[in-house]
Amino acid sequence: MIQERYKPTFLRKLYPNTKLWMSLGITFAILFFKNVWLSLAIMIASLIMIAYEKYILEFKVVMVSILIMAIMMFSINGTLNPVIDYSKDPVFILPLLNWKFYKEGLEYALTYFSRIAPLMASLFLLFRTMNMTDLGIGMYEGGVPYNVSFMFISTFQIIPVLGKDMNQIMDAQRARGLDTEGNLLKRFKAFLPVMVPVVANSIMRVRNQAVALETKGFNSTAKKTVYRDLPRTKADHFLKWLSILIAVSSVIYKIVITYVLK
Amino acid sequence: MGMRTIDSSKGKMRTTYMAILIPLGIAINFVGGQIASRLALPLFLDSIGTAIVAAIMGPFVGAVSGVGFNIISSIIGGNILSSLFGICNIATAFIVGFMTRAGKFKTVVHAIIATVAVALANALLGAPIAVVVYGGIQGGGVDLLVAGMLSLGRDILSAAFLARVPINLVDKGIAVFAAWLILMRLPDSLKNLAGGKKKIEEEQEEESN
Amino acid sequence: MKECIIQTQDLVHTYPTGVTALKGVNLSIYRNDKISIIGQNGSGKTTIVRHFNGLLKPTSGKVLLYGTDTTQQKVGEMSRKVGYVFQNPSHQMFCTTVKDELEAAPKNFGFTAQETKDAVEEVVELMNIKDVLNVHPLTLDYTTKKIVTIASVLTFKPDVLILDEPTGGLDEAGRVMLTNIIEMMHRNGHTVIMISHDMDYVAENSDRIIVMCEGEIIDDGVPEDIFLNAPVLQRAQLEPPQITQLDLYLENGNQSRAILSVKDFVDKYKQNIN
Repeated sequence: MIQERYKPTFLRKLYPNTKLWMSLGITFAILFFKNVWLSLAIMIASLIMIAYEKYILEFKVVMVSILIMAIMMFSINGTLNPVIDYSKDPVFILPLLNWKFYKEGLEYALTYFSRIAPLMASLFLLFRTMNMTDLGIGMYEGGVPYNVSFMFISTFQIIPVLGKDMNQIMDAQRARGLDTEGNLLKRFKAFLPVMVPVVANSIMRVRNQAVALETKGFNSTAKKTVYRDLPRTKADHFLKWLSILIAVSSVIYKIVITYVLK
Repeated sequence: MGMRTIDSSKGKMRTTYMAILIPLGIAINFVGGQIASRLALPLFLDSIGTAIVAAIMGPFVGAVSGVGFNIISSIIGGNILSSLFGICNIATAFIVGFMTRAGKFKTVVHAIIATVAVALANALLGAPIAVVVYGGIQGGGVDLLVAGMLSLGRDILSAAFLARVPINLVDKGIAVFAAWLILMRLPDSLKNLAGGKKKIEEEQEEESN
Repeated sequence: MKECIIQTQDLVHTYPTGVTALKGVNLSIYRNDKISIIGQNGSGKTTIVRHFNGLLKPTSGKVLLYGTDTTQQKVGEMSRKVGYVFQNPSHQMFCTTVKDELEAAPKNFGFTAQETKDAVEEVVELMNIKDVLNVHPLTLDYTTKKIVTIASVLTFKPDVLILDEPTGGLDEAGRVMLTNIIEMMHRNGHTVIMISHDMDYVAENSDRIIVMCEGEIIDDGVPEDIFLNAPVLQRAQLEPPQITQLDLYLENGNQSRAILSVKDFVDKYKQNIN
């Protein structure tokens, strides 16, 4: 999932919290500067970095959902929303279907699309270059309570375990005659016979896990030692403060144009 | 049984149980979605974990698990803003959690009431979030219904809500119903690890007998 | 000439992760065989056996069940003839009572209510699980859970019975019951295939052993010969049963067939002493 460790590139070598700060900075910048050109720039920059980091294949899935979103946003909003006055001239008319696209709708769609698409691309990039366990450690070192960091990390460890269980259980039920390939009704009926054992098994393990955690000192108040060494470089400091600067200035900008420059 | 001394309703043990069940709830949400797609079912069925954790550990723990799921799946899916839908999951957790605490998540009728309540809550909360975040159109099947509503002359907010009611009735509704069925099939010892008033009262009753 | 019921031809299987678990396996399984497949973890035992009821399909090569390609049949149809008892009993249970659990498979396969009732009664009688009929399966102890899963597969009387690590975690009474069941199935003309790490059990309860290593079959024969074949066993990183080892040590490797049970050992050495 998001946990591979390939050769270290610049983005991957960054301390995980730095990337959180960068996410914050980018999000604030996109939301408050509200500039289509800025969004476009971020989008292009992200795409370049994604290609450089060789994540194009994984990004394809996200790219497809961005495209579908674009098509639906522009077509539905463009033709139907929030048009109040149908007497205005449409911007263009789609030839065969005679759909009328209006300026208002298209602008509306553009506002939202130029917010979401660059966010999706840039945050995809930042999070894919993070190892989730490292992020959990970064959280703990950054002051997040141990319990929370632990829960964060263990989520990513449990998900594949349940996935494996699911495969075993589905096979076991199929071996007892459960039909997983028939018509829709049959497939619906197959959901519970697979879901119930997966959940029941995982919950049965909970009691033992609780005892195991207790015996390993989970609730002790001593400070936990972190085993992995995550280096912090000058680049991390620079990027962190740059992001904070961008975030703060975007908020100030927004306040200024909303209230001061009426 | 020796396990009597490990009472999850009290203090530190409860934290340990939370530390295990919250991630588990998130994982169950994921697995529900995975099974649905393996069986090529046209639904998400990804609130089952939230409902189960809410029933076992109470509404607040369930809510944390639900929000956690939305945050993590938005990280994996790439759209961080969709974690705002965690508000819907909180509603699911609260409804199921409080109903269970009140002892009202046991019969089929209870399950149906919970299903409808959760579906409406999700539609009610999901619509404004969709409008604020996406401008009303998300890039999913629900948008076709929204388009339909818009063409009938409704504004974007009510269109988003009306479109979401049937969809949530089916998707979230089935999830809650599935959670109820799963809970019915668990052995009694596991059904309520939460403590909360009712369980402590029951235990005191048992001890005085 | 015995009927060949399962045949693999140059079977190759590569998992989506990229691991090639089977590297071109040719195997024939005949009616009424009592087979054990042995080998290290990762040697391909579970992978090959899952092709027999269609749970896995070949990446290349063919698997024939009763002469028909498994890719041409549905898993449900094949499972009716090839029963598979999984290693972890908890993976195969989803009902609230043992009785429901036992009725699940016959119902899936379209048995009528009466047929289901009869089938379940027969199995309950056979495996002596009347007391736990109304108990929640997941609360049972491990041995009883295992017995219940075997019972739930026996309800529909499959032609072939595959057991994945059946002795793991079983107490002595469980082992005895398992042996009786395998004997009974064999007597009644069924075919039994076992995957096991339990060499002692395998030696005494198989008439044919298949040794697998790294995705290939490296030996296939009767237990008396297999357990004498030191180079093969070494390559597969397996040790013969303890009693066999004792005999090998005493005879300095000069025997013509392996000793497979304590009884055989005692008989042989009583003779020698006299």
